Amino acid sequence: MKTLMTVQEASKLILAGKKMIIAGDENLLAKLPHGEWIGGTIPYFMSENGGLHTQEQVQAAVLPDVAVSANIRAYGEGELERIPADYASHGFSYVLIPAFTGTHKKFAQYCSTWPGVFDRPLVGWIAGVNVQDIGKILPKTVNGKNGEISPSNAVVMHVELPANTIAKAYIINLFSQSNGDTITFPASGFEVTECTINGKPQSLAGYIVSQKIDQKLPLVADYMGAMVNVSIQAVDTTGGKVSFYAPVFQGIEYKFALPVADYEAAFLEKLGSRQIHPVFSCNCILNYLYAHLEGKKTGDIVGPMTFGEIAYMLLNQTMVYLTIEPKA
Amino acid sequence: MAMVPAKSDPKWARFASNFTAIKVNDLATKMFLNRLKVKATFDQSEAAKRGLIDEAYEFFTKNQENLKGDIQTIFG
Repeated sequence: MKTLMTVQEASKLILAGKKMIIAGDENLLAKLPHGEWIGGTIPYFMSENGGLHTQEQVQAAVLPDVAVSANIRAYGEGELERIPADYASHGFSYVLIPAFTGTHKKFAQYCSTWPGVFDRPLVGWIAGVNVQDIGKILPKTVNGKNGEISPSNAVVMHVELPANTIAKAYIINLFSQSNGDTITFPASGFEVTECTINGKPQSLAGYIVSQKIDQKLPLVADYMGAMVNVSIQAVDTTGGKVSFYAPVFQGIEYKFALPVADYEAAFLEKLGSRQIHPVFSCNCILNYLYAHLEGKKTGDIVGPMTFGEIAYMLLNQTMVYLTIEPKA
Repeated sequence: MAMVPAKSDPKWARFASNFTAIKVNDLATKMFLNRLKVKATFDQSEAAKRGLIDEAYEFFTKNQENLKGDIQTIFG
């Protein structure tokens, strides 16, 4: 089934009672009828025909009919930690959060500490805008049940699945740790000045400049075998400040990533080792931009190219996907 | 089916000392164990170790159905 569609085509599916996650420009999402869907603004997609930037169509992921129910809820910044308490008794949750908000920052910084957060697959992404409109137009989320468009709330679809199926969250990260220096931080956050490099206190901005680090390469941490990226947003050499698209955490060891020469080829190689049929997937706007993915494909995998991917926690430059499998 | 051992089982003491070296498969398990690893970095007291076992016992018991493979890997 095609995922990229017109407002009319998406409306027809909503009115037919389909449960959906819809990505697209705010003007298009605002035209959709109420129903069992949630949406987030983003105009970049990996489509059936390759990477695409469009504000004329939406991209919809339709839940398989096996999904028993979908409980849709919006969460303000102060309510986010209640998300795990609302998980379905058996299923998964899909979360959309507007970029550059307190909700975005709080989720990124604290979600992994919330009790029960790892008890069901929690996947989703950070809503964004055309990169030329950053600072001019706010990213939004949409609660399709009541049509509420929000510049600040997270919206979550808690999906109940039948007992004979199981949802699984996966990531594909083409970046791996280099053999270079080990970097740690004295505090967690989206912005840092100081860090320790191989145990010695140093300015991160100074280190990036002196070592001529390619700022398109993320810092990579090894979470018990899962490689978790933190991408650089800006390096302020005057003020000595480095800002990131996700927080770095105190107590985690980071290394800069090895470069990926050909993203498209590397992705296909990684994909070749897995036989996957995702219900949803999303990838990162930075991969779209840095690896020039417009017009290029990432195998058969389609989905929005977002301002941050979520697989339990906020990720950068990573593909996230969810499968629904028969229970063994 | 892989079972989560009772909290009195010596396997839990072994888990508390070597869980950072165990290779698990499920993304949820990896991220959960990483949370424990960070906590253990900051506090290596006996009380913290007991807290870590309590947290892991609750996590694996609640998710026994869905994490059979990892539970088998960790506890045999």
